Amino acid sequence: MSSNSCVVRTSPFSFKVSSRFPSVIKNLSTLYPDSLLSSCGTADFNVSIDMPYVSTIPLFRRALFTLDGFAPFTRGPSNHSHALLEWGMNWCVSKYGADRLIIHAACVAKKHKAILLSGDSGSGKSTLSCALMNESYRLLTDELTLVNLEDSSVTPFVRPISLKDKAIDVIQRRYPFAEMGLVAHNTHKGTVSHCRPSDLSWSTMMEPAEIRGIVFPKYSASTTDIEVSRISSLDSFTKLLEQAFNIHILGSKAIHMLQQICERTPAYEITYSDTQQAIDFVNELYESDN
Amino acid sequence: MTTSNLLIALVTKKKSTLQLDRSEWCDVVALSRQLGFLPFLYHISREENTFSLMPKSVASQLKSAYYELLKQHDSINWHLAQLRKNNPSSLKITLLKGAAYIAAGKRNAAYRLLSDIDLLVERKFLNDAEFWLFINGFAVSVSDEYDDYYYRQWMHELPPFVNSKSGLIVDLHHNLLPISSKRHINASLIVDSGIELEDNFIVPSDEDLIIHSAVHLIQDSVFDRSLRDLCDQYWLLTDYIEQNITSEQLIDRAIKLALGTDLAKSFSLMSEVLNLPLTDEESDFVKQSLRRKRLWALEKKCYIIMLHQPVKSEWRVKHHVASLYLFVKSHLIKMPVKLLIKHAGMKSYKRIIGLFKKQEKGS
Repeated sequence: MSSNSCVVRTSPFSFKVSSRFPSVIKNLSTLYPDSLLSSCGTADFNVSIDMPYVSTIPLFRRALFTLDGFAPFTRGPSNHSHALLEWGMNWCVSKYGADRLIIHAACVAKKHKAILLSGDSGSGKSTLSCALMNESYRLLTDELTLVNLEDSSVTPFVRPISLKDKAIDVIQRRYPFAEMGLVAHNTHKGTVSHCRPSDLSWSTMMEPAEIRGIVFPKYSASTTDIEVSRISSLDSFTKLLEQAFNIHILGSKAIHMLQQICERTPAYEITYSDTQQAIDFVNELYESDN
Repeated sequence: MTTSNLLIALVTKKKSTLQLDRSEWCDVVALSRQLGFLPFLYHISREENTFSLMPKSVASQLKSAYYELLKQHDSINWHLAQLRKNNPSSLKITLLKGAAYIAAGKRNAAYRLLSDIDLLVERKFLNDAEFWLFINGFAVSVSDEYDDYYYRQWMHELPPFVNSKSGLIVDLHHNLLPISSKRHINASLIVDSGIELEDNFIVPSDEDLIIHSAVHLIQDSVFDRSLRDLCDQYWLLTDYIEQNITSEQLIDRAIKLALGTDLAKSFSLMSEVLNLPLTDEESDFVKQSLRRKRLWALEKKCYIIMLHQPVKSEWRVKHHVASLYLFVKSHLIKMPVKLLIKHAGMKSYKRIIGLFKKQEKGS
């Protein structure tokens, strides 16, 4: 099997992906627009997903992510390779693009006004951001919100949205036209599939936005009606601090910036089971910001 | 021009960051990630004021590396201050390598990433030193009995100590070379001629810093840091010559410590790879020291291959062969053949067992 490669010109970093697994390259053309893909050229990160070797013996049915030959993670099953690639690409940015404050949060926007959706894994932030994207918001990121230290604006890092388990069905039922990539079953995060960002998100991927609302969503099947509570700036600061990957590296400048964002931005905790109610809430939040 | 030559040209100031196009930047940044040169690229870009001229994604990565370096140095300085304060039996501690460059304010410290703090104490004080590290929150991380035995019985350092809170690693040395090596020296020679920066906290003399860097390069069995080690010596040496005019004292010191061969090898590599001009005295010293080293020509070729290595994914057969040769050679310096065979057998056995035990995780 020969290795195929494809340059993915995402912003602010580009990737050159090489793989001997044909499905990986094919999945890229499902998840990314043709205008961002090219067969040759240079990129910031040269990544690959391939069969690992142990003492020159190839391990068939296994896949290993590498950056220029360096493997940050252990190998996984080959049918997870497309998911491993997306996680690996995120790792590259969180490890080497940490001159901005990186918050583990999703971010959507209309024009230049952004809403931050933060929470632990499984809180439903990816699902909600995917739904909002399909409701005419533009997606900035579903995982890594990059906040610039100079002006506290968010630089979009538009990438496919990682949906897990039931969220895949929820999105497919609500938005039958949403384009989904290959499914990886039984990963350590459960069943995973990625949803292709909307054309609007891709076409505005170079345009930064300002955080105007903060939402901490929590999906709970037992909730009948959406519960909304406004939280103090100190509480939202504490919660975002926990999700800020590199704040300990950036130090006081980043802490001060995060404090200012929290002081000037309304923040809410919402608990919901009906996605439509959560969407309505975000719409109201957006409308109320003049 | 290969990427390694490009990086070397930036180190030796034959090229400026102004001259790099996007594709060269991407290549040189990728190689620098592997070799630990990102903070250096940040440093020269700031000196040359070229941040606004380079691709934004490159500037972002260089700044990111710089912030990480600042944080790392802060953490190291903080830990060193704690270790200094909490030293009840007034142990004399000598800093080595990166930590010594930082404490001594050397030029290369500004862009030197550290993976750990290296400390040297005389062997007779090892128990005290181990206790001192323990009360400062550092404990031996090796849980494998064989590895622990290997370090304590044959090596020049104890197994790595890890801080239980911050995860910072301290390597506690009692020699520059393994005690199983014929060439190990008396550590008190380094301690006694060191400079006491504060009570009981010592950095080796300028000569010893350069010599130890050479010894480390020649005995190391990992080669992705070889170019950085050679550049450390290059930067230390050029500053040393600026201050002392000649390298005469340095050469005398290396001969006195019976480590002249290592320094000669590193001179030879600096001349070949970094185009360092050698004086007649230095050339004579290199020739004399290496005259009887029949395998040096081959060894040098292997070093040159590894010092010019591309990113790991582009390694060719010659890189694998050269690194294997140097790996075996570095172990032969460390221990006699008989012991090496025993050790290699034990390591292979443990590796095979480990393959079956290894758990697989997605990420």
